[in-house]
Amino acid sequence: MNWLSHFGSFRWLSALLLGSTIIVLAENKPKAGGTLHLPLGGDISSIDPARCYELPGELFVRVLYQSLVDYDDGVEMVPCLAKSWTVSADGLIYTFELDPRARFSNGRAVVAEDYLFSFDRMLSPKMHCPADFIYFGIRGVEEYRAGKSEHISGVEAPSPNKLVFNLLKPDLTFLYRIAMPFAAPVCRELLKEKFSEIGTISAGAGPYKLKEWNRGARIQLVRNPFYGGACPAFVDELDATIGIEDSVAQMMFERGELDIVDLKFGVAGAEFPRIKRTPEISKNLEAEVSSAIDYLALNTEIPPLDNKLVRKAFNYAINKQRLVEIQGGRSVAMNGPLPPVVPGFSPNLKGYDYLPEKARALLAEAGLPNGFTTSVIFPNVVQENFRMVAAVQEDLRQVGIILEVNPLSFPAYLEKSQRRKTAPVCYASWSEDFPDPSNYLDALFNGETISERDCQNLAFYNNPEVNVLLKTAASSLNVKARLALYQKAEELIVEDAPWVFLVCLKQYVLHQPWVKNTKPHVVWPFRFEKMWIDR
Amino acid sequence: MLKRLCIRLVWSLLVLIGAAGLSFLIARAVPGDPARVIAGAKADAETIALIRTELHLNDPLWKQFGRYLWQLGHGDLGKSYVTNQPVTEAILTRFPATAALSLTALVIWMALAIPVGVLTARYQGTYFDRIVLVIATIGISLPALWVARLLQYELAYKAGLFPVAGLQSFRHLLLPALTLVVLVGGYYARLIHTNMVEVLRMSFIRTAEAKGVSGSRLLFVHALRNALIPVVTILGIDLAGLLGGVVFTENVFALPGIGTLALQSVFNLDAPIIMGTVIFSAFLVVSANLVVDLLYNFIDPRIRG
Repeated sequence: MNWLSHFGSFRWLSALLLGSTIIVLAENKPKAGGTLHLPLGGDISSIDPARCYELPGELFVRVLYQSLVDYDDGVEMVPCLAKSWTVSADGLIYTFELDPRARFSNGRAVVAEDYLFSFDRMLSPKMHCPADFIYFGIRGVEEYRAGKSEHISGVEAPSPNKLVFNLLKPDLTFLYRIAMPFAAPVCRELLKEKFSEIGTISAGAGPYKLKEWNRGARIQLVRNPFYGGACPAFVDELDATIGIEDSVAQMMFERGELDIVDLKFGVAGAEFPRIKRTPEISKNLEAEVSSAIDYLALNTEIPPLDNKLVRKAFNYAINKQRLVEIQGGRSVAMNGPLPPVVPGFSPNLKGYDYLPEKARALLAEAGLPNGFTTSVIFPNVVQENFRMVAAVQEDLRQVGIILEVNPLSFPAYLEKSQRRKTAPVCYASWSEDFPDPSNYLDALFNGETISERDCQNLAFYNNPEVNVLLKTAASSLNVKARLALYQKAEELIVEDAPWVFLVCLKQYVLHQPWVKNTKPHVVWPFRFEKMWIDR
Repeated sequence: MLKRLCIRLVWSLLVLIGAAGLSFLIARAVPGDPARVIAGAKADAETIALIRTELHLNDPLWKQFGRYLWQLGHGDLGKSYVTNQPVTEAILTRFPATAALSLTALVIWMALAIPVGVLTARYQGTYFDRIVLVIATIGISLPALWVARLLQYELAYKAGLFPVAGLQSFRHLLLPALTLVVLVGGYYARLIHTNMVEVLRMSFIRTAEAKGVSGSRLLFVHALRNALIPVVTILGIDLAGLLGGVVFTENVFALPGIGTLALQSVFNLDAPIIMGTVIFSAFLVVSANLVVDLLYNFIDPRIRG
């Protein structure tokens, strides 16, 4: 073999590599067309952007009603129906230049006045918007809701293509809030009444429009032919069958009747071990750590849980690794209230290790050497909760704490858990609205938000020092200093132990091999407009 | 006859009011706040309080029930707490799926039960009769949820003979219908069998036999026509019960019928839908009873006499 023949084989190798690269690139190029067959466990409560505040319903609403901005593949903001935006130096004024190409599903151009209409509609008390509080930082909302003005003075439209938001206080999370479907424009002429629920009308400017919604049976979305924003869709039609249980969805998926198996956490817990054992299925399983957390809220107002030593004993008594094993490795143990995907997460935060001896010593120090009896409530709709609570119950029994178990329907659970001095311990879950520590710490630990009922702070935790830190951080414009304040608040919270910080769940997407670009996003686990079909 | 009809109508109305009252009390007695259901898990206290006031949920129970009966009297079943859809509309859009399933199942099980019931009566005490009795007893005893899951796993998932779930075509109805056939078919075969045995002992059969009527004509025309009279009564009431919602079967096969609507509303504590589906089911059963009762006069001449 001489040099030339070496060169010849090298040329063949190069050609082969080049060919493979071209094929890979062609495979990664989005293709338009096809139908995505999806399952829905229950019906969507509403497709009104002012009303829908639940997953997986929001996954459909956000492609019907797109907003000014959206997330890139991470947590950076990119334009969607906006062309660009500026923020004033004091952080109080956000000015958006609208994309002139943006169109509603009836073909009409989206103008700034549409946002004024939509914000007035969404924030009117008549609409009962479940997320209205997210926008209370806009100037004039309070007066508008009190009936003192006809419009929200802080939302202005100086020209058809310019939209201005005036805030009461600087807020670095404002763009995240604007990215939510609640802030999307609604086409006024398509509505029957301004303040009535949209029903089965499609009045958005998103990449999809509603084809048909046979309530309780099926919802079908087709591409909006007039769409003109920066975040278009590739798949022609989304076709979701409603009322399919997890295990049934898995069977349908394996028979090829569905393209994606589950729109909650991506796989049913009971099916997970089998999926992992079956390579031909698991090769199409994608996973990311999500923003959803499970925790045990310890009511700091009910004795003996008002004693920090007792709460710390709870934390030392529970073996979180065992909980991760019970979930088949679909979660990671937590040291504090923030999941790893949230900016400001402290990897070095000292949490509570599994030390039952220490837990017993703390109980003795608290004057409870023989332990005590208390009770936990949890929603009975999630089967896995039963196994998780049973493991917690067993761990606590080992240190002398007898935990009585009370599974409740979800509405009954909400009623009891959010009422003051009612439930000593709650097994609870939380997932973020946007990727910011405030969405955990402010929402769940701010003592100033405690109310007699309907309170999100399930531990009824109130530490004035933490409250001040949260308040200062909320209006800080310095990103680094702000995160440092939240980290300080998190340290104090962990020291006070109002929760047992249990696990952060992983998000999965199990898809057919022909469905591409399905990587779960940290905020919206399934982004239908990014996916395409390549058969 | 007219007096009898009037009395029956008054009783039917009282039963419906009773069903409305009972479902109202049960829906209210279950812990949980409807305002919280409407607002969603993360809503703030202000929004929830506003909804509570608008829905008069702070009023005493008797006042709420009075308002509900008043609306009911005007044909208004209210709106779903969760979807805001009018209850009547929700029930009517779900009814076709339940009706299609019930009627498909009914046709199949009667097509099987009639010949099996007649032949087991004719060959009473044989192995054939005993085998059918065992199968029927097993069918009656099996839990609906288990049968539905088993058939779905074996015939749809493993064998691929049917779609797993959903309702996109008539094919999607066959497996759920088969579930009902397994559960109910045996019972009807036995019912027909028992009535046939009784009829076959009657003197008019002996007369027909003596007159030389052929075996199959004797069985399927002379005897069966008489044996079916009590079956029709039970069938009417059973069909009304099915039309009111086949909870487990619909749920397993993701059929958008009254049964799944009722089950979902219980999970969501959606009181207007819970009450609406209960009243609708009660209405169907009461109406079927009434119709069967009146029809009996025409079907069976002995009653008229």
